[in-house]
Amino acid sequence: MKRLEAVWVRNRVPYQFVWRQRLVKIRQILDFWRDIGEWWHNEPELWFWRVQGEEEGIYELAWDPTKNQWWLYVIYD
Amino acid sequence: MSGAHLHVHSAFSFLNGASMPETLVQVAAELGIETLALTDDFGVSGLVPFLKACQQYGVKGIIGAEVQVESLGRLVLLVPDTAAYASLTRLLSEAHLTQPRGAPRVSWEMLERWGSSLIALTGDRDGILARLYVQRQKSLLAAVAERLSAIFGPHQLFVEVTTSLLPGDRKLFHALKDLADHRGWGMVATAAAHYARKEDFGLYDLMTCIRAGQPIEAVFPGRRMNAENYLKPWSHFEKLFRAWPQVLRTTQDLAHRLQPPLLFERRFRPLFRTPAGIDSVAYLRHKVWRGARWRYGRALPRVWPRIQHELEIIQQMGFADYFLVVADVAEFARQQRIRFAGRGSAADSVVAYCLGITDVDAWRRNLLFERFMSPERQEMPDIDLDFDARRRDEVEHYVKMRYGPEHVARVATYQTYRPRLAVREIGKVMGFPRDELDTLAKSLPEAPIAQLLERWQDIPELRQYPHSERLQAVLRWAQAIEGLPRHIGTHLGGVVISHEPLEAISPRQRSPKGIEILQFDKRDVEELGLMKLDLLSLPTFSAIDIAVDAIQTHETFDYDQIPRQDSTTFQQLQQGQSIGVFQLESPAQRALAMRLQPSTWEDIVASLALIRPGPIKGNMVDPFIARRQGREPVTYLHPQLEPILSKTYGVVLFQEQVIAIASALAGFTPGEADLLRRVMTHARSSEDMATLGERFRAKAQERGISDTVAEQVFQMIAGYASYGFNEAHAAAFAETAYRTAYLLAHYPRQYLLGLLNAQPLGYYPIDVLLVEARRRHIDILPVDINRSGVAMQEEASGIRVGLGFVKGMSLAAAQEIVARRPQEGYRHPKEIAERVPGARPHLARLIEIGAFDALTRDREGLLADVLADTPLGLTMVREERSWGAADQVIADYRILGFGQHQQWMALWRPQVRREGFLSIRQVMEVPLGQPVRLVALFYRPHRPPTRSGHLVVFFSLVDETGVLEARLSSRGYQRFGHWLFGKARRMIAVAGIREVTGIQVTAVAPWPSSA
Repeated sequence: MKRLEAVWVRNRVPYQFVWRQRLVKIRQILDFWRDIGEWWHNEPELWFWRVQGEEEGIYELAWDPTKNQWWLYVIYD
Repeated sequence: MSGAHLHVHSAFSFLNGASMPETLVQVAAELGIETLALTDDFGVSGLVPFLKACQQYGVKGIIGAEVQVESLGRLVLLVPDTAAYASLTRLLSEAHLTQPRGAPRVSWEMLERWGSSLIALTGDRDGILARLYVQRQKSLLAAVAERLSAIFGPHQLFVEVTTSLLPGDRKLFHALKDLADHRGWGMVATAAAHYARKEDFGLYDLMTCIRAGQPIEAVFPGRRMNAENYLKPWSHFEKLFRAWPQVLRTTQDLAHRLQPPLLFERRFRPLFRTPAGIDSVAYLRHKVWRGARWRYGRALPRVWPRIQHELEIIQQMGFADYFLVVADVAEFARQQRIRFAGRGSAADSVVAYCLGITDVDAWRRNLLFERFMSPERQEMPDIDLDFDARRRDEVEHYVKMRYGPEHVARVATYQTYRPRLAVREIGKVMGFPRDELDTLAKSLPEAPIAQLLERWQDIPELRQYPHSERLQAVLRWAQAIEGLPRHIGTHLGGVVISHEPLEAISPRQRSPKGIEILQFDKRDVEELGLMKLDLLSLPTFSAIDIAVDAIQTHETFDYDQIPRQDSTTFQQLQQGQSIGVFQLESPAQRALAMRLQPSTWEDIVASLALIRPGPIKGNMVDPFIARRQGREPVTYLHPQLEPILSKTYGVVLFQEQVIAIASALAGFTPGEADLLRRVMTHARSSEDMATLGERFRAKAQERGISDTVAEQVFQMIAGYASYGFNEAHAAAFAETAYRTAYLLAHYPRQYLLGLLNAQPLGYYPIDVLLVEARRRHIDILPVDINRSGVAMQEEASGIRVGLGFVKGMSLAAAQEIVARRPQEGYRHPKEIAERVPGARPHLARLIEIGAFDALTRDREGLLADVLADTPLGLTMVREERSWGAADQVIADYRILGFGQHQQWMALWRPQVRREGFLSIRQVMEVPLGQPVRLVALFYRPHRPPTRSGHLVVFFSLVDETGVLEARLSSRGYQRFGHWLFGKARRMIAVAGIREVTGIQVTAVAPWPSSA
């Protein structure tokens, strides 16, 4: 899980982000879900987007609403 | 208001819902939700509080349930109108009763039979369509869709999409939409809610772990991955499904179409079959007349106006059939010689007395019928009958046969989370070791968890825990679950009888005891218009019957003719020697008796009302005793109070007295006065009380009572209204209390025999009863394989312990051993194994408790014989090895739970004596006010409510010479409380000061000190 420094959102939905100094524009949102995690250890709820970039790459982005922190969770090759 | 939640689970989904129905409705109202459907798992137990709350909050409440169809998936069924409600109850009954308990299922045939009048939603991820889609079972999905179409048609089946925000939702919803479009089905959106607010998820998740028996760290199927199953605002639906507006429109349209079932306006009375040509009112009058002649003889003309008054109210309220039904039950019990008695406020009725339902003469005692029933209080009458516990089921069986099994059913009870269970189950899920939890649970004082958390540092047995932060976390979650229903069980004796078949009113299911029950508890059945009759088990009646049988083998004896004023009986009570007496044996009752010195029947009635939390907190006990003994003058605020309060020396002790005072002084009708009493009892705010007081004073002034006196009287009854006890109930219990005291005084051996054989019952365990028996010079004879019966039985001047008391041995095995005993007796344990193969596993334990001691004292040798098969089955020749006293006593307590050869402390007596401690008998001989030291077993430490609010501990000390009651002050509790609660420890050394009722403890320590 890598931290993302720059993510652009519209209505709380991401539309582009920077990964390895490259701007990835999101072509479509494939899926969205929320995960409560280990709440008993005070883990925050994370919001997940599975997105397809314009360059065809598939990414899973995670957002921690409590800290407004973004993560790149998975990249599908 | 707009929006609808059509798939909602409450805590009545039993561990699959974390909010009570009332909370769900309240939150829905706060969110402006217009329609809310309660769809608990296979049940409608939450229906009554749900619909009531909906009425209160102006929310449209719809009833439904979620069911599992075959092994395919779940379906949400909604009731569109009142008529369709019966289809749901019938479907749910079949789903429960045709399957093993705890695993209800709906079959296609059931859906075909009952589904056509219901509305179906296809459920969430566990739903019948979603699950097949996720499992990629395309052909089965098509077949299921076809079958659902055939049952529900296009207008009663709706494909459900949820706001659950799970991975894969998008694909799933599109697939479901394709299917719905293809079939012409509508689609609706739900939250598939299992809790009211997002923040309730933690509790719901813990409940899920409890249900699955998994620790919180585990990942397992069925556990939700997010906290999205709550009641969401409709705006969330609009946002999430903005691309699919038709789904939202269909959801709203369906919500408008559904109508709340009208279930509260109906009445389902039992129908009593009267002789041809006579209606139930006339027949009741006839039976009461006959009964009144039996009860009152020549006094009847004086009683008849009162009876007329009661009959008029009974007729006006339409309860004639109910009285006839109850009278018929009483008649059956009497004919079958099943000992029984009516209890509770029914004993306020002369009609009930004449019909033989109760044995309290409400006319002579001047008891108020309106405490039991009045037109002002439109409530169902509630009659409780206690039966000999051994034969109670015969009575229920009779009722079922008389009115038909489809018209009679047992009422449910919801087993709710109490602090100890909550701590055990939450703690287990959170990974605490079982023994640690057990200790913590046992050491929790009887109080709501919120109070325990608040007062953690004041409770010595809690503050001793090293990991108190972790334990407090457990307690905080336990607090959240406290009071929620865990599972459904069987009410002790509540039975409803209805002229309408019950299956249209409530689903039925099997309780853990295997009994068919309704899905509603006693309060809910009344709200639904059903009439309840409590057929309760009273083990004391079994004890009495056993005792009377034993007495009658020696002499002629009639229990019903026991003299009312027996001096020996009262002397025994005055000395506090009432261990075993019904309702008068507790330490508090015995202490009261030693102070009150009861010498009349009324003293016993008063005693039963005095030892209650209310009178104790309200400081009624001391003034009552002082007035009873003439140490304080008996005064009345107004002369009209004298006839009402004279029997309790001017103290308001009974609820009936509050009613009578309001009637006499302020001119309330008795029914109004009872309503006033009830409001007073429950009024919480000073404003409410002030309003009531004004009304009382105004009415009293109209009758010429001065404002000052009216105010004083109001203050007096207001102070006692919440403490007062039902006099009729006290009088009914006093009958049995006095008679058992008489049996104990005159026939102690037979009565104790009865108590021992009717276990479990009463305050004290068997070990204490045996101490009491020995104190009364009754020999306790240990189990003897050739002399013992199954039960305890009389033998010479003692009581022989029965084989049925051996722990772990079934009653059937004990009966076989006795039945197959050869005339000359068993000669060796192996002979039992040959004759009763089922007894083989119990032989070692029988040897260990000395059941063969009469044949040989060589227990070791016998054990070797049965544990290791010797060649050719021969018994080896060997030296006899008998057990020492310590081994013997340890085996007794381990295998029987009590000391049959001797009490535990007798074993330690030489050492205790050497260390200078006294026995209980010696302590009793020490003058009052003198210091004493003793070592004993302790029982039942408890912290009851006290007047001051301080935590004081009461416990019983027991040794081989007797029982002593101990009291540990609040300060003492802070110092020594941890020795009395929590970890299992039985022997303690106690120092204290001798007082009338026992000892005032000054120090406690474990004993022996090395323990």
